[in-house]
Amino acid sequence: MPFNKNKTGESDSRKKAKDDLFEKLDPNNMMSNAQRVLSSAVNVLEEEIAAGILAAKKIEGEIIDVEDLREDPQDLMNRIRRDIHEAVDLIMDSVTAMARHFGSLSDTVLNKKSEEKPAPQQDSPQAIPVITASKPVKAGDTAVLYVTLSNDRQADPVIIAFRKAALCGKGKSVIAANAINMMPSPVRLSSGEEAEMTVQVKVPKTAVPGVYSGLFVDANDSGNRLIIHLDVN
Amino acid sequence: MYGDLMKSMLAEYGAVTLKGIRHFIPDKEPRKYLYDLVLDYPNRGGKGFRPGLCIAACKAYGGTLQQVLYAAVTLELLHNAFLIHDDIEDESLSRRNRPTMHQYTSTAIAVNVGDAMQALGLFPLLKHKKILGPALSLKVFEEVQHMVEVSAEGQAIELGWRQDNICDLKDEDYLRMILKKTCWYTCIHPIRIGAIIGSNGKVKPELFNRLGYFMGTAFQIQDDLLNLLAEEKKYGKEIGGDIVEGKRTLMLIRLLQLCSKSEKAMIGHHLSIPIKERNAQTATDILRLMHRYDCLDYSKNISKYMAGAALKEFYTIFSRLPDSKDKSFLESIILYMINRDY
Repeated sequence: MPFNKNKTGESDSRKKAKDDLFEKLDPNNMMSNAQRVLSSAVNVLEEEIAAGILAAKKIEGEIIDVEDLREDPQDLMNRIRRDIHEAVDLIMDSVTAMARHFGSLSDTVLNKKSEEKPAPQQDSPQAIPVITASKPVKAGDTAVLYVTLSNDRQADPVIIAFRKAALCGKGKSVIAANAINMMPSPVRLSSGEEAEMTVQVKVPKTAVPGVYSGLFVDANDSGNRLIIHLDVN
Repeated sequence: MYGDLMKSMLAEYGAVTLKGIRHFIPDKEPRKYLYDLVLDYPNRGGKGFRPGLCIAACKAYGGTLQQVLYAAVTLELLHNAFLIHDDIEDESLSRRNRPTMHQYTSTAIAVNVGDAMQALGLFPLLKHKKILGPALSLKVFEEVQHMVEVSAEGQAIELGWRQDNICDLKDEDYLRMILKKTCWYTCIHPIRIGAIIGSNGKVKPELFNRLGYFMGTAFQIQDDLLNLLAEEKKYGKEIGGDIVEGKRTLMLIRLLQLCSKSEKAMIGHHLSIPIKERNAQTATDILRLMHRYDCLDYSKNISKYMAGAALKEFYTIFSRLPDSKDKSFLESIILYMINRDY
């Protein structure tokens, strides 16, 4: 039939066109081009990543002897802890020294006519560590503070049991002692041992914004004291 | 079909990221020459490609929008900061159908706005600590640090080629430059960051390097082709602007490889003179040469090889994850690149 013949003719010509196009595309050549380009791209990527790693290692090594530090990570942590303690002690010592200086200045003013020799100074009071929350806490939220305790005496194990105290704020505002939770408590430390204690302070929803502080004293040794300091906003 | 999915999800994630960006712009003075301008480029409505990839990768790995939004905001803020500086470095006249920032303010003001945006872009990363915890936040920060570093290196390579009027470049040089200048920050890191957050740090980020590299290269070549072929209104930048700027596109590099000595001398001279003195007629002649030497078709093919390779990588990595709209969205971007007909 002419229709069928025509259709077959069209089909043949379409097939031929497709074949021509396929030939023109040169699939083998295309595959090889794609492979060449992709392989080149992957090489570039690998080279750049390797160069980046080398450069980063060099930067790390020039300022800090990382390998040396990695040999004893515990030593590094101890050093960091010691440095922080020393920094806090320095601040507390300077505050104490300043307070003493102002005290002696006012004594001088009050007794300026007195020619008496000054009384021998008492031993400087032991600095009380101040534990401060890293950021202000909202009324109704719970602040979490961390205290590192260490037994640097040669003596027998010590048991530290801080007595909770209310945190006093402006005027009559307080955060009651029962809103404070210390874990673990008591803390038992052998000679040279360290432990971390967590202090959770649940700030009442009705708390007035301001600074709150409280002194915590060890029930077993009143020489062990710390101040909890909290900023409520 | 995939084009519709891609466009609708890019718009959705772009809108939520823009809202996040607005949240991080300080509501204070100086407004006129700083904070109002910070919002200018994001408000012009870019593609939102980077936050889109990041959010989708996160969700495909089981994460949530809330977990990844800060990272998406950082990516988009830094991207827009790069664009402002990029427009100055390239002496571009228009961006998303409007004058570039340094054109309607001044170079000094635009540089400063870009600087501020880079600083503002770091702030959302600090917020990660609360949502992701310190270890994961640090991982994301390292990703961003690397992203900014390599992007600047890539930009330096291309600016160096222009400064020294380098005309003998190979395809491999282009692939290296584009890896550093575009791919890390457009695809590799957005996907890596999204996957890190979505998998809660369990997935190895290196897994996505090839996928992002192939996608980014296909994306950049196609963007460069659009600069020569698209309608200006649709494209949003001056057509042929890359030839005037002397940008070392794959098409130009190919042309310099194939053309005659006299043609190469003509192109070399065009590239050696200051941008403002370059002749539009010469740019048209160079475009004609690109057509004559089949540089456009050659580049189209390379971009399709890259998109094809990206699709293979995508199936290798993502086929083990459960089907999701976000997974389909990532696939649709690659399919769109493969089937793009300009």
